[in-house]
This record gives sequence, structure tokens and C-alpha cells, in this order.
Amino acid sequence: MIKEEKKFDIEEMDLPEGMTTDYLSDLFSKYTVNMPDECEIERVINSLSEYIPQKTKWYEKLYKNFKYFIERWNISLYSISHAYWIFTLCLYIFGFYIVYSNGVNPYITIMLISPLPFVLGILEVIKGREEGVLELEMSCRISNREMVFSKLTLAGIYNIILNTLLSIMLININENVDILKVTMVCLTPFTFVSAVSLYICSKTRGYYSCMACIFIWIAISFSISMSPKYINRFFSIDFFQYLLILISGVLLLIFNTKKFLKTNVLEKEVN
Amino acid sequence: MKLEIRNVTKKYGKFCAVKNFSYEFTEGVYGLLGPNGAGKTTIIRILADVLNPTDGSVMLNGEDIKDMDYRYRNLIGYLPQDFGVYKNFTAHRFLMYIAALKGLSKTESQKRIEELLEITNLKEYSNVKTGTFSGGMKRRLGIAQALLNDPKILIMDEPTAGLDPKERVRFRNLLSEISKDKIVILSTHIVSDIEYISKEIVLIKKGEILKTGSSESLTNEIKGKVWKVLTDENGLKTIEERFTVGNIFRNGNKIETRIISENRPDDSAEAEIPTMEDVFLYYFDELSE
Repeated sequence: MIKEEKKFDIEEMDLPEGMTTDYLSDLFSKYTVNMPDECEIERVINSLSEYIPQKTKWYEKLYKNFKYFIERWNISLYSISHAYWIFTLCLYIFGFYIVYSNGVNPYITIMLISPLPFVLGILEVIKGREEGVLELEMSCRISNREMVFSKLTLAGIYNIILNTLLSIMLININENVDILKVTMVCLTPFTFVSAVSLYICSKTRGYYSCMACIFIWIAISFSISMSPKYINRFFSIDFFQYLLILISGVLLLIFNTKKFLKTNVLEKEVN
Repeated sequence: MKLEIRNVTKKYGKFCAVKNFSYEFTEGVYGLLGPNGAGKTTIIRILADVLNPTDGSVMLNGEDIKDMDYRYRNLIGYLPQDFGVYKNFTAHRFLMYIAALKGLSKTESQKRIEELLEITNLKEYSNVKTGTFSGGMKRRLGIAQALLNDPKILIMDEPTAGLDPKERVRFRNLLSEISKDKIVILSTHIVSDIEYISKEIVLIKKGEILKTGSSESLTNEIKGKVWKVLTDENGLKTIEERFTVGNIFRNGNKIETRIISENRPDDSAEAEIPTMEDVFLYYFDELSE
């Protein structure tokens, strides 16, 4: 809305008796502020410029975020049990071993184990609640939400590193192993099984539901391995269809991670 | 430093655990005393910022702790009632983890942990897994973690549960030592925990403040209402039916009873000097531990 400008003309004003326009001019002249010269203006600008917040450069922002995550991951490493790292690493070594020495199908093997480190990682995330440490963690400076997110991302990155290493090793020992197919059977279960596990855990918040997810996935994997037609059908889809599946998986994972964070942390109810 | 609870109400469905609770804490030791289910833990959780009140607010020096967020949590040390530990962690590793969550640097943490393990008598168990700890040892570990960041506000829920008498005395002396420039809030139903060290005791019943005051003023208020009566087995039954009875001491055929009564219960009754245990009995009509 534009305000109507009101103009005052001192000559037209109804002044009290004895108050002349000359008197008012003299009175107001005390408050006259002279226009500073250019040098003075320049000097003020220069002295104030150091207080203007600098626009953070993109690489500085990136470094800051990276530092933040490294600090949080460092703390997460304290709370995630040694058994988790050892067990998941052994799982991948075992997977490689059975493919290498027993000639087990490499696709089935990597499909079966590819989501397990992340799902087992969820167990590490929810153990605070299970073991009664959550209430204490919530009272600390670094919020529980930050820590849950940090632990989830750490488990996710660790899972991807293990999957990548196993894929590279499988490709190296067997020239028939196709890099695209390995990526497909590795990333698809990783995204979907992880997303479903997060969803179930955000609804039930229990060790047992997480364990149930693992067993159900193992059962599904075995039943798929018994009927190669499913695998062949999966491999017969074209690259763009696969890309679509992968994008849906990633979106589902992001959505359920957000849901998990909300239901497990934000409510500030410990009971 | 002023920590203020302003008209806090907490409801769980239809059940109201805390009703319009207001109180102000300054430096010193405060004891929240009340029977089980009085709402002490709910208040403690709200003060520790792990539970949101349904209504009202908590202010530190005039600023809402919700707005202060991590700045407030940075100032507090908290020992929950149900203090859990990661069972496969050693005491040292657990304290390092909590120190990291409290934003302490590694060198700072190491130094502080050494000190606190010494204070809490856990030094020799530093590298023992917490899963093997007794209830008392876990509690001492809980006390150690609450003190890690040298908190300005120390909030402890039933801190002495599971501690033996010697440890309780050590703990009380420790609190007295450190409470000079701190707000220390203890919730308990054990009178002896707070009787001698509290600047003020807040009696809570059904989520509301019943009475506040120093242990001296609270005991003074019930002067002339505590009696000693000698009786026998038959008389004891009548006394128990008619009065609130505290300690009962049997000495041969004679039974010495401690009674809370507004009037002299018997001509032979002798007036006794009230203790905080009598105060508890008087207001809550049940025995404290």
C-alpha cells in the first residue's frame, strides 16, 4: 500500500501566538546536519566494511561441512561396537571366499550381503534406546538427532565401500562378471532393503524388528537364488529401466531416513 | 545464575504428572523430595531438556532453554533415574564417548576422566566392561559422567540408588564441595540424601509443590507433633490403627514407637525432636528409606 505523502508548509501552518516562522527557523537550525564531504564518507565506509559479514566461499562451506561430519563420525566410532565392524568385514571376506573357492554365483552372493552392513548399522543406532543410554545422550551438547544421522551415514558409507571393494574383487577373479550387473544386484537391494528396514524400525523401534528384516531378506535372497529365472529377468531389463529402479530406491531411502530421524529423535519423549 | 520453572504442566494423555509447577533455583543444593509417582522424575526430565512440558517453560537467566538449545545442554550434567550403559564398553571408553557428546576435546577428556574415576573409586575398573558392573558401580559411573563437563547445573535423579552407606556419604560430601558456584538439583525419596546438604527442600505430591524450605524450617514446623510412646504388643496394634507410626524398636517385652500426631497421643507420650524423616511421614504418610 502506498502511503499518501503529507506536505507541510510552515507559512500555512496555524502557529501559536508569538511563534513566528523566523523563530522556528532559528530553533531548527540547531539540528541541521551538514552533508559530510566525500573523504569523510569514504573513511566511514572503510572503517565499517570490516564488520560486514563475508560471503562464505563454496569451498570454505564444503570444508566446514566436511569437518563437521568428520567430527561427528569420530564420535560415532566410539559408540559403534567393534563387533559390528569385525562381523560385517568377515561377512564380505566370507562372501569373497565362497565365490573364489566354491564357485558360488557371485551375483547371488553380493545381492545377499549388500544391504546387511547398513541394516546391522541400524541396530547400532537404536541400541542407545534399547540399553537405556538414549535419555543421557539426549541431554548432551551434541544433539541425539545429529548423532543418529551421523551413525546412519557412517554405516551407509561403510556399506558402499564394502560393496565397491567386493565388486572390484569379484570382477578381478572372474572375467565373466559384468560390472553393470554387479552394480545392479548390489545397489538395488542396498537401497530398497535399507529403506524398508528403516521404515519398519521407525514404526516399531526394536531390535527384533530389525533382526526380522535381516532374516526376511536372507529368506528372500535364498528363494531368488533357487529360481534363476528371476535373476535372468532382472538382468534382462535395460539400463534406463534400471536407472529408474535405482532412483526410486534412493528416494525411498532418503524419505525413510527422514522418517526414522523424526520418529526416533525429535519428539523428546523418552518413554 | 537463576534457573526458573514457570507454570510447567506435563500431561500423559489424561493423566497429569505435573500441575502448574513454578519454582526458582539459584546456586546451591536443592532436594526434590516426594514419594514414588509424585512427579519428581518428570520435573527432572524437563529440567534436563529431554522432555518437553505440555505447558509452561524453563528459563535460565531469563532465556527460555528451548531457545538456548545446545547452549543450555552445554551447561548441564545429568544423571537419569534409569541410567543405562553400553554393556560392551569399558568404563573409560563409555566416559570418552559421553565426553565427546559433551563437546570436550580428547586431551581435556582424558584428564577429566582420570580425575573422576579417582573420585568415584572406579580407577581400577577403568578398563573393565560396564556389563560386569554392579548397580552401585554403574551409579558411580553415572555420577562421573554427569560431572565430566564441570557443569554449572547438575541434575540428578535418585543419584544414590544402589550405593552403599559409605559411598552415599562420599557422594554427599562431594556434592557439598562442588556446589559453591553450581545449581545442584537432586530428586530422591531418600531423606538422608538431602537432609544435611540441601539449601532448600521441595516437597512434591501428585505433581504439585506441597511445601518448600530448609530442613531446619521444615522440621521446626512439625515441632510438637512427634512423640515417643512405650507400649506392648497389644498396645502397638491400637497405635498403628490410630496414628502414623515411624520407627518401631523392640526391647524385650517393651516396644518403643515413634508417632506423628497433632496432639499428645497418650499421657505417657514424650515429645521428640523432629527429623526430616518425620517431615516425610507427616506430609506423605509413608516411610522413607
